[in-house]
Amino acid sequence: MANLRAIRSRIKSVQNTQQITKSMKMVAAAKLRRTQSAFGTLRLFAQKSEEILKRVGTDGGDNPCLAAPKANNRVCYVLIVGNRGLCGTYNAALLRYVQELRREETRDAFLVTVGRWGRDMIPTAGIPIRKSFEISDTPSAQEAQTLCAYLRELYTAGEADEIVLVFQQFRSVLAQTPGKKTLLPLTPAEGGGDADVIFEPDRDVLLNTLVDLYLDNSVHAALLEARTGEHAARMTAMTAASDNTEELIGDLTLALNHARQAAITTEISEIVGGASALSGGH
Amino acid sequence: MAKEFRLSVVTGDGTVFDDSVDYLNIPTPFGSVGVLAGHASMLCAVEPGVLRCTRNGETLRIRVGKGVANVEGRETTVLVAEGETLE
Repeated sequence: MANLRAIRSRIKSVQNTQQITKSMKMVAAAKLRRTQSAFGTLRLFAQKSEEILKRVGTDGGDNPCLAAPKANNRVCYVLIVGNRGLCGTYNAALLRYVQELRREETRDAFLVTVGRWGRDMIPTAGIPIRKSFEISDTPSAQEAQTLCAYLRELYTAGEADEIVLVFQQFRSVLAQTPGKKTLLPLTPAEGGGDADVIFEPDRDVLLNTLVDLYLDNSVHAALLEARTGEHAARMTAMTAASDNTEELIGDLTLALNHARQAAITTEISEIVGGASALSGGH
Repeated sequence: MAKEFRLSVVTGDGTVFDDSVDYLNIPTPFGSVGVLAGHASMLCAVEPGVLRCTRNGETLRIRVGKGVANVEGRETTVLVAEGETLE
C-alpha cells in the first residue's frame, strides 16, 4: 500500500510541475507576441530613417560617430542575455560565443552586459565587465536610448574603438543563432544626398540628429530581436517540458494501475485462500 | 476648404499620429516652423517641444522629442525619439 501512496504523490507533484511549465509557456507566448509586434513597428521607423538618411547623405560632416576610432586597441562587447533562465541553451550558447570571439580577438576587450541572467556565470568567462544594464521583457525606445547614450559616450570618449552588439539573432520561433553586429564606428553609406532639398538649419545638424536616431534605433532593434528570441526559446523549452510531464504522468498512471491491480489480486487470492482453507477444515 | 496634406509622426515605439492635416507647426532649434500643403521639399531638425497640427479648425498638440521632419510632396514624416498626444 505504501507503494501506491508513493506513486500517487509522485503523480501529484508531476502535475504541479506541469501546471507551472504550461503557464510559463503561455506567458512566454504572450510576451513573444508583444515583442514581435513591437519589432514590426520598429521596422517602419528604421525604413523611414533610412529614407531620410539617404536624402541627407552620410559623407563628410564632422560627426564623431562617423569618424575613425581613436586607436586605443580596445573592443567593447555588448552582451545581451536573457532576464531569466529556463530557456534551453539560449544564454549559455551566447556566453560560449562571446568567449570564442574574445579568443579570436587580438585587441583588449571588455563587456557591457544587458539582462539579469548570469550574475555569477558571466564573470567566470574571463572578460572584465564594465557595466551592467537591466532591460525589461519588452524593451521600450526609452530603455534603448539610455543604453545607446552610454555606448556612444564610450566610443566618443575613446574608451573603445569598436562597439559590438552580441545577441541571439532571431531566425524563427524554433531557431536562434548567436551573432554580432558592429554598432560603432558607423560605415558611411554611398550617395551624396538630394540636392533639391532645403536643409534647416544645416546639413551637419541634421546628420547629427539622424545618426543619433539611427544608433538608438539599431540598439532598440537588437534588444527587441534578442528578447523575441528569448521568449521564443523559453516557449519552446516549456512546450518540451510540458510534453515530458505528460509522458511521465502517463507512465506513472500505468505503474499506479499495475500496483493497484497487484494489490487487489493479492487481496482476492488471500480471501480465496483463506476461504478454501476454512472450507477444507470442515 | 484649405488644402490638406498627410502627416505621420513616428517613434521607435509606434506611430503616434497618421492623418491628413491643413497646417503643421514644428518646434526646431531656430524657432517654430509652419508647414502648409505645397511646401517646398525640406529636411528640418526637430527640437524637443510641442508640435501642433490643425485640421478643420481643430488643433491637436503632440509632445515630441529630438528628431527630424521630412517634408516631401504631399507627405510629411516626423521621426522623433519620443512622442505623445496631449489632450
